Amino acid sequence: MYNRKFDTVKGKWYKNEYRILKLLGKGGIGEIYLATHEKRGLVALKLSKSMLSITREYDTIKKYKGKGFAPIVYELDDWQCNGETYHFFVMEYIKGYNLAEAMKKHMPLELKIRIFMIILRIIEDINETGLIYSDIKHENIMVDYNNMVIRLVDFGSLVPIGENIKEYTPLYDRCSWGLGPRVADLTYQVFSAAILLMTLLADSVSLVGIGSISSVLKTLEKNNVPKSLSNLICKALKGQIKSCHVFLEKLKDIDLNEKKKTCRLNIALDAIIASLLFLLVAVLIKIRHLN
Amino acid sequence: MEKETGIIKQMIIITDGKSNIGINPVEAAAKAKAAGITVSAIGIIDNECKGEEDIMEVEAITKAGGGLADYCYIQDLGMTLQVMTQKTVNHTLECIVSKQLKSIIGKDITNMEPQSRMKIVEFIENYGDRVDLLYVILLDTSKSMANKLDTAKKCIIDLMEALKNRKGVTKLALISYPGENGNYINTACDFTTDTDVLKEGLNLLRARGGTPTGPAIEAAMNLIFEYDAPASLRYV
Repeated sequence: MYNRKFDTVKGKWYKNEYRILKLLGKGGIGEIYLATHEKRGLVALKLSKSMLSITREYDTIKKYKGKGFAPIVYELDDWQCNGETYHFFVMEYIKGYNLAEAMKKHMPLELKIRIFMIILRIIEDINETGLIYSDIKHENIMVDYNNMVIRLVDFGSLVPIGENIKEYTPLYDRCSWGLGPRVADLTYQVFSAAILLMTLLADSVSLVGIGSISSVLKTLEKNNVPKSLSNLICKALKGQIKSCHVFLEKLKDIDLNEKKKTCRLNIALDAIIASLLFLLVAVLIKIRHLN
Repeated sequence: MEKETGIIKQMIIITDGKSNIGINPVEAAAKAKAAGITVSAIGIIDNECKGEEDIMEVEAITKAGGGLADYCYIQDLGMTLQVMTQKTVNHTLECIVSKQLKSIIGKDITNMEPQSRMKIVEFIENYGDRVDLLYVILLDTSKSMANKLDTAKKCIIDLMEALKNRKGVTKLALISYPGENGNYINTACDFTTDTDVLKEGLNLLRARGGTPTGPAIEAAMNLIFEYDAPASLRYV
């Protein structure tokens, strides 16, 4: 939107200058640019006309200072350009790739679950501060390449428990599925997390469309997801799992090798049947021989 | 907490084209603003390239009406409508608070240091959820809306459901334009909190005819006046 119209953003209050390098992405409330600052080096700069949203998000990220999952924020300022006032904050630029890009590499099931459990733990941390991260989606989850950790980049959607959801993506939104109200509660959070898990398991965001629980089961079956895991996802979607904490505990209990075991069992059974048949034939031959 | 008085009056136009009948919508929007009603608009984008004139009109209406403008494809209307609703309420409050601050301390929010704005932002957001809301949706039902009307109806019902989660009372009315039998407008549903009443009104709507945006804005204003006048008399 503002791209190419300018190449330097200069803060009105703190006088810092940022050279815009490129547009990194567009969020619900504004645009994020990669920029450079002579002392801070590469930074991410979020710019919007909405003073409320920018101030709110800046403050929210600051709240998680010291938590590894949130970026470091440097400053909040205004910028005047062509008679318009824009608001922006500057934060650490996270080098890496987002979860959507990571998924293209077809990770094994165990790794997917491990990554998801880390994400769940982060969400649980956020929920404990009385907030719901409603817009938890691939684009907002970064795999930090330098530190090999998972971090969140968009904090604009966070709302206190009990309030209306402000920002959402229909696929992750319980209300769009017709499975409950669009209100920030712990089961809303579990729902969006369960959808995230499903897209991870299906290796694609586009394969999972808004549908019914039975269509979810079909998608999971097609991707050879262990039965106990798909049962857990269904429970999460139906609101039967009370919090991400409970979700995490139940996930730990799931045996990912269940499928393989049944396979091994089948081989064992086949072997037994085969040997029994062999024995039977041998006995029959013996009987005929005796006659 | 003591009972908060005050009510926010706003209208949002959902349209896919430029007005072509009746009074100038920009003039009508300016009148609404003068009467304390915010006029915002959502322009629905088609795959066929939209003329710049359509966008210019949406911009001009919302500027005159003191509201916000946004554009989206029909499939994203649901979310856009909900985000827009909340944004306009907060935007209206921001303007009011800013004006108040200016008269008390001599400077508005943008002239305060960014770090010290948080308390005010918090106040606006909390109050934005608690304040009562009189809300008219103006739905363009001209011929070009034919293949988008069903989606638009669903989005409006979804919005009604979502508004019930607000802490303040929200009364929603729906005006569709053009009306039937040569009328410019049709009051599909007067102010209500009942989703079924709204559904009934929506069910009857069909897409046909031209785009009398100006008369629709005037009609929405009158609807708000009629509803609001007796209530404000009571407070005197």
